Amino acid sequence: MPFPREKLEKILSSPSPVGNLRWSALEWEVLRLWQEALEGRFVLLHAGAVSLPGRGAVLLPGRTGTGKTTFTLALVSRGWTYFSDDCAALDPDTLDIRPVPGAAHLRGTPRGRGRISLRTLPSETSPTGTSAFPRRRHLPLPGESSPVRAILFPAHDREDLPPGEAVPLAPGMAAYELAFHSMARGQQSFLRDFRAVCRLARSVPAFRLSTRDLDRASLLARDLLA
Amino acid sequence: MPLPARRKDILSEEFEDGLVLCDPITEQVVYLNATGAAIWEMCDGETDPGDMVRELVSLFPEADEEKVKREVVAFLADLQARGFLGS
Repeated sequence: MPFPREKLEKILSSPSPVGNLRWSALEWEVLRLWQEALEGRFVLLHAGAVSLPGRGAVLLPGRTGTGKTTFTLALVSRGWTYFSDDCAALDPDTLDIRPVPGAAHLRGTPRGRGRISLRTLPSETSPTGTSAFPRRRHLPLPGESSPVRAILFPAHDREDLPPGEAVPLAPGMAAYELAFHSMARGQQSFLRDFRAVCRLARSVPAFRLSTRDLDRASLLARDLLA
Repeated sequence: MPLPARRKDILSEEFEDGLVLCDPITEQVVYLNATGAAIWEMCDGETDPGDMVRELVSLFPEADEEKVKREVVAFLADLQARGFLGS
C-alpha cells in the first residue's frame, strides 16, 4: 500500500525536528517502489533473509508477529549479512536471494539492542514500533546474491517447539507454507512463485525453530549452514 | 450423481510427504498428506467413493472401515467446497 501522499508531502515539507519521521516516510516510499520493480523478476516472500559469507543464506518466512524481524536482527548482530527482515526477493531460476532495501520494522524495541548494534528510530509506520537500520558492514554489496541453503520458520511463542532444536518440516508442507507467504499480485506471478517455492522446498531442508532463546536459535541456524 | 473428478487445470506438485495443489484461478493452495493424495488420484471421474474406501482399507488393513468412509466423504466435500473438483 502506498504511503498516503498528503502525509508524505506534509512530512517532507516540515522543518526539523521531524527528521526521523521524514526518513521513515521516504524509506517506506522507496521500499514500495523497489518492491514494484522487483516483483517482475523475483519471487517476493513475506520472509526475513540473511546470509553467512561463503556458506549461503537462510530464509525466515513467517506471518507478522512470529518474530522474524527479531530473529533476523539477532543473526545480523552475530555476523550474518542482512538481506531483508520482511520481504525476501528470491530469483526463481537460481533460487538465490537478493537484498531488498529498507529498515527493519519492529513493533517494540529490539531485544538485546546493545548487542544488535543498530541505529534505531521511532517508526512512522507503527506508533509503538521502531525502525532499525543495520550498519553498513552488515549489508550485502550492491548486486550481491546468496544461494538459499535452509528455510527456517521462526516462532517465538510456540511452546510446543523444543527451544534447542530445529524441528524438520516435510518438503510438501514447507512448499505449502512458502506458497502461503508469496506476496505475488496477479495470476502469472503467483503461478511462477508457486513453482519456484516448490522447487526450493525440494532443494533445501526446512525446519520450525523456536526463537524464544535467541542465542540457542542463532547457534542452530549457524550449525545448519556448516 | 457424477463421480468425483479433479479439475484438469489444477496444478499439482508431488512431494515425498504428499501433494501440494494450486488452483490457478482462485490462487488457493492446499496441502494433501499421503492419504489425501491417494484419494485425489482416485478422483478420476470413474471411481465412486465406495471404491475409494475399499481401496484405502486394502492399503491400510488396520483402519476402521466406517471411519475411513466418514473421512473420505468429508474430504471429498471439502475438495468440492474449495472448488478443486469439476463436474
